[in-house]
Amino acid sequence: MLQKLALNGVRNRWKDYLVLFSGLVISSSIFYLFETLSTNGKYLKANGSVVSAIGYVFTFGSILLMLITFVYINYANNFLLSMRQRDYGLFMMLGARKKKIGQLIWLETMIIGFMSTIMGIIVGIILSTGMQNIVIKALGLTAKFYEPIWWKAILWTLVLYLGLFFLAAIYNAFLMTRKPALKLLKSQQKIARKQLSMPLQILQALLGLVLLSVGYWVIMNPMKYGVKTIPISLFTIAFGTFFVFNSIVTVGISFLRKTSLAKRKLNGFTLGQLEFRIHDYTKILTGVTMLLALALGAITTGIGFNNITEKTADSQSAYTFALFQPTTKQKALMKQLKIEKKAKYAYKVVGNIVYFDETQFASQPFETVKFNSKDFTSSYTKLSVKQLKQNIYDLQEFTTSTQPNAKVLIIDSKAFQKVQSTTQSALFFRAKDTYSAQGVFSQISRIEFAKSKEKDHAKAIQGNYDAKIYIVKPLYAGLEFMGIFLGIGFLAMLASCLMFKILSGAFADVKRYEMLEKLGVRKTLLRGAIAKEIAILFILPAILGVAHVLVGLNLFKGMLINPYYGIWVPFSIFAVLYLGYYLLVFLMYQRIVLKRKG
Amino acid sequence: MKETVIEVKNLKKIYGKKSERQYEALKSVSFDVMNGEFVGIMGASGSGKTTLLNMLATFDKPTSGSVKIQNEEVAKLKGNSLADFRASKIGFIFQDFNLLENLTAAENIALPLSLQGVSAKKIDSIIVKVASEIGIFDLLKKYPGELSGGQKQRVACARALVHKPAILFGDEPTGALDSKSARELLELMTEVNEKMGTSILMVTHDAFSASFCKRIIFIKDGKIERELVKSESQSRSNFYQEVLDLLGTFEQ
Repeated sequence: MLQKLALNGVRNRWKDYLVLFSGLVISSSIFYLFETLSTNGKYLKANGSVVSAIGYVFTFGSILLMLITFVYINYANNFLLSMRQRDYGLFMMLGARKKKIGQLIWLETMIIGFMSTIMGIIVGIILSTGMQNIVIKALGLTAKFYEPIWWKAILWTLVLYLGLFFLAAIYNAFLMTRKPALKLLKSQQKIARKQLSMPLQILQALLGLVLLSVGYWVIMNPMKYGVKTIPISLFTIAFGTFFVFNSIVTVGISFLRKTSLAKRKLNGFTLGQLEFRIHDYTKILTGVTMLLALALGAITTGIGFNNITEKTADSQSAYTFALFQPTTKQKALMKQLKIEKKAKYAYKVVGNIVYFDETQFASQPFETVKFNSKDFTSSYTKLSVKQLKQNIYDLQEFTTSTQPNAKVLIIDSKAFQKVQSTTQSALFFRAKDTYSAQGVFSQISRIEFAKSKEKDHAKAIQGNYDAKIYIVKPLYAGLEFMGIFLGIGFLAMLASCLMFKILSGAFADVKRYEMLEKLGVRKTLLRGAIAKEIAILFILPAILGVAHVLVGLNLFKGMLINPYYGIWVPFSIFAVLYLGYYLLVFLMYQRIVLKRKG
Repeated sequence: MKETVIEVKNLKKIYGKKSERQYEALKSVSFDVMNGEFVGIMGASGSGKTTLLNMLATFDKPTSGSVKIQNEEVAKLKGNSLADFRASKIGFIFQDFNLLENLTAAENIALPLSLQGVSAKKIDSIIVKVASEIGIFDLLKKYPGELSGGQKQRVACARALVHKPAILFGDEPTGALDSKSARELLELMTEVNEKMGTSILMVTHDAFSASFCKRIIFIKDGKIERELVKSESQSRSNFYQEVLDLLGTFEQ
């Protein structure tokens, strides 16, 4: 009978269960995604060789994610409890035995946990396959040795999630059977308002700011602190954030309540809600801020690696290609490109020497490139014949393709004509919009390789754009994949955490909103109040998180040349995703709180 | 000449869908409340008194019949106009206070005014005035959690009155109070009625509370069974006795 009642309870609130269930599925699938990376040693070794710290980053990330998962399941479980305790209180009132109740809640928690974990792994496999495809297609890179179905990841996800659910189930059963029935029935009516004394708040505010500035300073000077930079800054920034939320934000809210702004429409109510909640929220807001910083940082650096691939390839030389004796096919292909600069030089080959005519370099000066790492632009300088003779390597780099190990000599017109060999022609050009033209480049390059006497592909196309992509790309591809992957994972996780925390408070709000409705508050105003309240809970961590990222990116200066370049791209991607989560939480909250018509 | 504040005509309420077993909670009820009256509605549980109040206070819609408050047909109101009507014309005291526990007493009282867009300065002065009238000036900065039941109900009373509603509804306002606080609240309501001239309609099953009213409407099984009017010369305790006697005959 009780089982039937319990099942009925689930059926009546299946939408709320859907929220819980889908959240858990998201969480476990993200964990699975992460584990497919971090437990895949081969992948890490193949892609992480560029950065020695990569293993360290992943162990660290794994531990962090586990902690988050722990917190997350705790919130999800609270959400479940807040949904269920009234029902169970009622059963107890009806005379159900405590042992029976304990068994029921244990079973319910375990079933939810088991089902969501299995679903999560399935979704995780689908996600990781999709992710791999998207990343490969969108960025044109391959993540070597990456396996979407990875048994180690499956195992770890199962172990962690089922373990945590087992603990949660025991905790729930314990809690439900220990609390008197009356308390369960009225559990939603208790409220707490903790107010710290003013000096203590000021102390916390100061401490928070000091910790934050110490953290920021350490990040700005990574050379000084070496390996210790990350632990020190993480510790100081995390605690700094916590104290800031715990003091400055609460003081700010209670200050706002005293202004006349609080007496406009429902502002007073919203601020009151926030002030009562903020202490309860400081921990989660801190966690969310840190995660947000990590997620945004990961995406930014990931995309930064993509920029750098592109730009390093562009900035290696002043010419995209040098074609020796261009074929008609190559010339036809060139018509598809936007040519910015073109130069044609005659050359002759005798034995091991390639001869050029110096007058041609006087009329069409050879160019070199200078790369500006600040704004990622390249500037080109024309070389005089004398300068070119001194920097002959810039030219020699290209001739390797037609004449391996050849010496380049630039001689005057008369001498050039005397060289006993057929006159050949070399076409140097620089194309615009290189990124989108990669397909055409690889076709041109293939023909050039076919003509070349050099057997090694990389050497044959040396100096050309395609070669640079060919060499540079694999270096960064793995890192880029990891960054984007991690970023999205962290984001999904943090937003889900925040979502559950907010939603588990929603049940307590049902009565308040009902009351307001009875007082004659318009529906639109109620909706506006909900929107504002949730928005503030989303914006606070976003502000601090973004600040953390902007400072934290400094750490990547060594790797990314200029980590701030093109930063708006990841930031806007992130903003869109974050906004999506906000809207989702807003809609769900509204559905819980304003379900009645009228 | 006195105007009518509430005009109830042939009010009916049937619960349950047509296909299901229906229950008629109110069977054609009609009565008027004049401006400045203090009316009590009495009846046992299940008599339909709460159903009646919910319809008067616009929380529920009648199956048929009409309720007019200051000549406005309440059942026709919807959405925003309904909300605005509640906010401007109606004051309500609930049995379980219904104060927002995350707002101070002052903020709770200010809420109806804030909703109407009254300026912050004006709000402050009105609150001070109302609070002194009701005798809760010292409590303004406290949160509901720090107040006793009686104090909470006084705050709720202030909140219900602050926007000068056309009518103040009370749903068993003394139901959750001890006898001393209950008496104080009823005395306060009488004072509000007499000095401020606010019309009050209160639902109760308690004869003592009802004896504070000027007129009592008795409801039984969804119909008006009797009406008692307190005469000018009659003392409250005498009226109380009359109510008790009537209730005694009712039960048989």
